[in-house]
Amino acid sequence: MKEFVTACPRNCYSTCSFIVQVEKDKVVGIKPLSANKATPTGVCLKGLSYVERANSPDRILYPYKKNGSGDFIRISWDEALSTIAGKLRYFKKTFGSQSVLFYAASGMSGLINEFSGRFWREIYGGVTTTYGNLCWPAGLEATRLTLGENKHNAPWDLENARLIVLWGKNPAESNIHEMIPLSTALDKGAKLAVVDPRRTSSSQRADLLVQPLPSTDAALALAVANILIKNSWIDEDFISSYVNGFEEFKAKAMSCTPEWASSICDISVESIEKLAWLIGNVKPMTIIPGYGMQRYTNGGQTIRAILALSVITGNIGKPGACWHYANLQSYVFDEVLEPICYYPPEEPDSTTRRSISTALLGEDMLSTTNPQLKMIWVERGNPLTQNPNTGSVLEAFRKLDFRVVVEQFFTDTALEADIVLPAKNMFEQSDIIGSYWNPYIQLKQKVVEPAGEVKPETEIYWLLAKQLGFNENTLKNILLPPGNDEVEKFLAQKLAKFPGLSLELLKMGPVVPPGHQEIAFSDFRFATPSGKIELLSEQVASLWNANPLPEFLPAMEISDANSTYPLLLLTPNTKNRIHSQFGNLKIIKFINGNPVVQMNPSDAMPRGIKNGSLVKVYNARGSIQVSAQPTYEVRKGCVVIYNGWWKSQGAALNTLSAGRETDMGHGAAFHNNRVEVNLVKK
Amino acid sequence: MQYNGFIFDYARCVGCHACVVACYNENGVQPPVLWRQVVGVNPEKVPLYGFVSLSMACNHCTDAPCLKACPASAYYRDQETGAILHSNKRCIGCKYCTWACPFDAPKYNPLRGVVEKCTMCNERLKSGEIPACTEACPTGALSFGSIETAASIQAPGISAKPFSPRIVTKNEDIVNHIPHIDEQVTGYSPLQHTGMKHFAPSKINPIHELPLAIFTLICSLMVGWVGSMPWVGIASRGITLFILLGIVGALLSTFHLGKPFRALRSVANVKSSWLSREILLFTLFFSLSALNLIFFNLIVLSVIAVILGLLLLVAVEMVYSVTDKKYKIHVHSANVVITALTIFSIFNSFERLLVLVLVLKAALYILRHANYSVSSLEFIFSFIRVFLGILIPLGSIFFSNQHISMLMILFILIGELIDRIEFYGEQQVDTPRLLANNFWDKSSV
Repeated sequence: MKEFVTACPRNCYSTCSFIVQVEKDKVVGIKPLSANKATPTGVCLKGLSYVERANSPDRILYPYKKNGSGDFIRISWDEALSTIAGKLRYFKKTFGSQSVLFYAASGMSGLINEFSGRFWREIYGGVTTTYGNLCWPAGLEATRLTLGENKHNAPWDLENARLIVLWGKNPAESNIHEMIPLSTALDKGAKLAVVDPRRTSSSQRADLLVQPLPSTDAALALAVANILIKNSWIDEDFISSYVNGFEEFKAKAMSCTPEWASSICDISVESIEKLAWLIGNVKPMTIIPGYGMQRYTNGGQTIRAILALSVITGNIGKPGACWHYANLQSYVFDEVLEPICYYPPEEPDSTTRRSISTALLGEDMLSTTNPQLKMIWVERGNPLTQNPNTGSVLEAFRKLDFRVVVEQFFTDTALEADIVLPAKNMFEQSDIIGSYWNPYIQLKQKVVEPAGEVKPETEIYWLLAKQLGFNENTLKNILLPPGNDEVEKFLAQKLAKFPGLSLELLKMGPVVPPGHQEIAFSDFRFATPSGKIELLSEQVASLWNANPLPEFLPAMEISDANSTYPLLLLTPNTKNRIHSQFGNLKIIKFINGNPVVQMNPSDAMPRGIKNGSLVKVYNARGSIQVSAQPTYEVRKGCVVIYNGWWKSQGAALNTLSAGRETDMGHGAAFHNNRVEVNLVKK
Repeated sequence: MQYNGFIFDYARCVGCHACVVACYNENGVQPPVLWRQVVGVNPEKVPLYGFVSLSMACNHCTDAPCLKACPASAYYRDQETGAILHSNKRCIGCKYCTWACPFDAPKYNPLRGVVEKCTMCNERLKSGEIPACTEACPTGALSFGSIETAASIQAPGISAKPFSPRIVTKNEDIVNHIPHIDEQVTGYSPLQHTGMKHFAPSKINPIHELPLAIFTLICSLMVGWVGSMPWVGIASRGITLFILLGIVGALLSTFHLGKPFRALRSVANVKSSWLSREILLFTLFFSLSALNLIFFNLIVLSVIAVILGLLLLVAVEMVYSVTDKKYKIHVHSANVVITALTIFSIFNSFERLLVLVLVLKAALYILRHANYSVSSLEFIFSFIRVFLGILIPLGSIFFSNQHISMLMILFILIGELIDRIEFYGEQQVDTPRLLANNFWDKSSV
C-alpha cells in the first residue's frame, strides 16, 4: 500500500489536506494530515466517502451516446470525438462559433481548468460563455468595495475571539473544521451569538440565537449599528483613522431603530438589543457571515450592512477580530481575482466572449439570438439541478440541437446529454488548488491511473482539437499535451513565479503562499479608492447603481406579504453533499436517503401535516413532492429543503427558484423564493 | 479500572457522521447494517430544551451482556486489547444479543443471517493504531485512549445499565445549554409538539417474533399436559399430538434462527445463557416425556419430566429478563407458568382452578393495559383476547354442566396466543436512539 499527500478540490470552505492510501491502483483509504493547521483532523464524511466514490460501480468510465429510444449506449472515443468534432464544425460554419455554449461550474477546482477556456477561445474561435457565479459574488463584491480585498484571519485565529457571531453560517454542516477553533474559543470563555432563521447544530453552545426572517439581515444589522452608535459602543479611534463615510453612515443608522427592524425581521426588540450589547461590549469579535444571505436581490447591501458592524467596533486587523467572509490569499495564480472575473466582458466582439448570465441561465439561453444557441458543452457542473429555475434550464437544454456533458456520474444534466464523456476524478490528474478559507496552496496529486477509458479534460480537448484539424505543434502552445510530465511541467511553471514554492514541497503537504497575512489587514492598508474602509462607497453607486451607504431594501418576492405563497423557502447546504455531488453514493444515501421539507410545527399543524406526511411544495414556477419533517429547527414562516438533490433522487429543488441577479457582483439571487406547502397524503 | 476505551465529548460532537463513514471504509460494512450510529437528543429541537448528538458503536463492556447472553458462545474477549469480538461462523442468528445489549451494538444482518458488530478495530489496535472512527472525527468529539471506567454512566442517550462500558463522556451538561431565543419566533406550543415526535423503532417486532410466541405457548401447553398425565393418563392419539407439538415447537424455534443449520450450537453456553438453558431444558423435557409416553410409561419418569418442564418454564421466563418491559405489573398475564397452570386445570377438569387462573389472567391483563393507550386495531385484538379467551370460557363453565369443550379450549388458546404476541410487543430494549428521543420526556416526568 502506498500513501500520498493530497487535497480536496471541492467547492467547500475547508479544502482539507489528507493522505490517500492506494493499493493495486485503487483508492482504499483516507487518513488525516495534521500538517494543515486548519484541517488537522482530516476530511469530513464526504471526503471519507471518496473511497466509495472513486470505486463506485455507477461511475461513468466510457463515452456514451443516447440512442433513439433515449438509452445511453457505450461508444468508442473515436466515435464520440468525431461526432462532436463534426457537430462543432457544422455549427461554426452554419451559425457561427457562438452558437455553442461552454458551461463550467465549480465541480473541481484547479489551475488546469484554464485549458478548457483556451480550447473554446483559441482553438474553436470563441463561444458563448457565462458570466457571474451561482455562489458568492455579491458578498465578495460587497467586501471588496468596503475593505478593498477579500481576506480574513487564518482559521485558527478564531481561538482568540472573545465574541463569535455566526451570521447565517452553519459551519457544523458547511465547514466542520471551523468548529475546532470555535469550540476552543468557547472553552476559553468566548461568547457565541448566532443569527440564523434556523436553530442549527452550530448553535448548540450559543448564548444568543436571533432568528430574523430571511433577507432582512441588513435591517437587523443597521438596527444593531443604531444601538452601538447611540450607546457609543464604537471604536472612535479606529473609525477616525481608517474609516471613510462614518458620519453619513451614522446619519443613516440613526433612522434604523430597533423597533423598525423588529417589525421587518419579525424578532423582538430585546433580542436585537442583546445582540447589540454583545457586539458593542465583547472584544475582540469575529463575525462569520455565511453565503446564503447574499443570494438575495439585496444580498450585497446586506453584507455591507453586517460588515459595517465589524468596522465601527474596530474589529478588523487584530487577533481574534475579523470579517470572516472569504480568504482569497491563496489565490495567487489568478490573473483576475474574484469577484472581478465574474463580470461580463467589457467589450464583447466577434472573437471575444459573448456571455450570458449564470443566474439566468435558462432564460438567457432561450432568449439569446444572433446566433441562437445550438449546442452546449457542460463540464464540472450540474446546471439542471443547481441553477435557478430548473424548468427554464430544462426547456433551454431541450431546445438545443446537441448536448455534450463531461461527468463522473449520470446526473440530471448528464441524463439530458446526447453524448456523455467520462470525467476524471480528483485522484487521476494532478493539479494545484487554493482555498477560500484556509491560507494554503495545495497539490491534489495524481495517485491512480484513470479508470476504464476515462481521459482528463485536457486530453479530451487535445484529441478534439486534432479532430478539428490542428497539428500537435500548434496545439502544444495552446493546450496541454497528454501525459503526467506535461501536467507537472505546467504546474511547475506556475509555481516558478514564486520563490519558495515547488512541486516537491507541495508533494509533502500544504504550503502557505508568499505574502500571507495571518491577521488580515494587520497593516491597516485597504485597497479602496480612498485607502480607507469605505462605509460610503462611490463605487457601489457607479458600478451597481446602488446606495453608496449600506441600506436595507426589501427583497423581491420575499417582501410581498400578500403573496399567495405564504412560506419563505430556505435552501441551505447539507453536510452530506457539496451541492449536487456525493448524494448518489450508497453511504450518503444511507445517512440521508430522501429529501424532506422541514417546517415549523406551527405552520405544519394547520395544514394537517405530520412527521412523514407526503406534501407538495409549490409556487408559480413549479412544484415538488417530498415528505414533511416538522421541526423547531426552522423558525415559523419558513420552510427548509437542503439543496443538491437530483430529480432522480426525488427533488429538483430549483424547480421552485427564480433566476435573478444579485444587487452587486452578478451573483444568483436564487433565494428569493416563496412557496406554499399542501398535504398530499398523511 | 483503567482501560483503553472511547472518549466522547458532547460539547464537540455536531453529528457530522464522519465516524460512520470511517467505519464503513475500514470494516467494509454495508448499509443498512452499519456498526456505528449517530443519534440526536431532542431531534425536534424543541426550544425549551437543549440538543446534543451522540455517536455510538460498541462499548466493549467489561461485563459484556452480549457475551453472557449468547447461547452459541459466538462472543469472546480479545485478551490483549479487551475488545469484545463476535464470530460470525459461530453465530446462529438468534438475535438474543441484540436484546441484551442496551447500546444497540450487535446488529443483525438479515442478508447474512448473523449478527455483526464493532470490533474496536482490533487489528488496528494491535498494530498500534486507534479505531478508524476516532481517527476520523473532525472535531475531536470522539477519541480513544486510556480511561477510568465506571460500572455505569449517566449521560444523554447512553443506557445506565451496569455493564462497565469502556467509554467515558465529557460535557454531558451541554445538553442543558439553551441559548436566549425569542420564544414567539419559534412557534412553540406543547400541543403541537405531541404530533411531531420523532419515532424510534422498537427493536423487538412482535410479528417477527411470532414463532417464539407459538413456541413458548407450546412449552406451556406441553408442560401443563405432562403435569396432568399422572392423574388423567393419555390416549394413544394424544401421544401423537404431543410429539407433533414438540416437533412443531422445535422446528419453529430452529427456523426462527438466521442460521437454522447451526441450531445445535444453541446449547453451547449453558454456563451463562438463559437461552441455552431454555433450549437444553426443552430438548430434555421433550425427549424424556416422549420416550416415557412411547416406551416406559413410568410415574417416576413422568415426575422427572414435570420437574424438567417446570425448569423449562422458569428458563423461558428468564430468557426475557434481559429486556425492559413497557408494563409496570411484574407478572404478565401470558406468563408461561400461569398458562401451563391453565392447561393443567383444563386437562384435569379442575374447573375451580381454571376459573381462578382465568380470573387472575383477566385481572393481570386489564391492570397491565390500564396504563397505556392502544390503537383501534390493538383494541380489537384486546377484545378478542379477553372476550374469546377468558369471558366465554368462564361463561361456559358457569352456565353449562358439561366439561369444558374443545371449542372452549381453542378459544382459550387463541386468547393466550394473542396475549403472548402482545408480550413480545411489550418487551423493550434500550437503544441510543430510543434514549435520545425520550431524553427530555423522562426528565420532565
